[in-house]
Amino acid sequence: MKFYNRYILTTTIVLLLTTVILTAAGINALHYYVIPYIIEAIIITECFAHFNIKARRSLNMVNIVFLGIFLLLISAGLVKILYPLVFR
Amino acid sequence: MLLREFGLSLALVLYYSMMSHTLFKKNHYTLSGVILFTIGVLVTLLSYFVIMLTWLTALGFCMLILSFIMIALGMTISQLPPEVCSILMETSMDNMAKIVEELGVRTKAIYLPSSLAGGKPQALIPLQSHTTLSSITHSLPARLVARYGANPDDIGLLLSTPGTAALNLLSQKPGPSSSELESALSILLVGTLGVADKVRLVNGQEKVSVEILHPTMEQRASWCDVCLGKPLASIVATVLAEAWNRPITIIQETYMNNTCTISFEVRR
Repeated sequence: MKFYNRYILTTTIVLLLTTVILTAAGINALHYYVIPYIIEAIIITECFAHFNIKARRSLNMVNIVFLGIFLLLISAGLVKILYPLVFR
Repeated sequence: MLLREFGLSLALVLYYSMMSHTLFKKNHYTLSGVILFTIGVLVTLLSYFVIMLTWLTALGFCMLILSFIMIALGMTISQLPPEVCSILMETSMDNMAKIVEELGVRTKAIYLPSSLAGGKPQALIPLQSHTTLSSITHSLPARLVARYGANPDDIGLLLSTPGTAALNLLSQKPGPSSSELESALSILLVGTLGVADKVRLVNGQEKVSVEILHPTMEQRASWCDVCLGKPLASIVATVLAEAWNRPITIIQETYMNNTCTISFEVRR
């Protein structure tokens, strides 16, 4: 169980530190917080390579959901930038 | 303003830690995940629509991300309490020790791969100490008392060990290269069983050493240890035997500075 606790605690600490740093930097747009969270969560999951097969499979599913949200946010950002350029 | 935000973040970190500490003890990842999810949804909605604080909304998202991870882990980890596992293991080790003690055997066990031990990796404890396994060319019968050679004295006990059951937890047979073996041992001991922090393999010609960092498995001394080695060594020996498809013997086990070093001899 120690390995899983370490994984969850690492994720928690990294996400909270990101919040503190971004808040201190005066960032006020929500997607600037969410995108780093998702990238960090995916990277940390990949770094903890020795999960058992079932855990790895279900965490991969979670990562796919995170990746979907990430792509959605990126697409929304792109649309926001490109829309005025295309339809002006 | 920043101080207030930092204070609130710190309070939330402390809250997370306290809650995690209480719930981890009981191995309730799912419960922990569901609670975090509920609080996360409430914090996100309230802070976005009512309080209108971006950083607090972001913290709500943090909670949601962690809750998804915890629920995913909770669905995959066995909910069988460690005490039950301990009872089962102690009982089987006790019975095994009684058999070995009753027969007065003190010979080192030879860990055989599944191809030589009736379909599953097992340990052969020869009843005679001066044994050579050069004569084993075919799989031994899956019996407690097995004849392994042509001589009348070539009789041994063929026993299932903790490694026999542990090997089933791997999705595939471990490969023979050092990196594949190290990875298989890490998945088994660190990721699946959670009884160590790191595993290192030091490969030699005929002798191999495995270093296990911070082993946490309680290991009571028993008669079995003389023949089979301690459970951790037994698990590693089984994995090595299966990966190389050759008999393995545990030569030495040392525990020093939170590191367990086990030396093995690879038999021909």
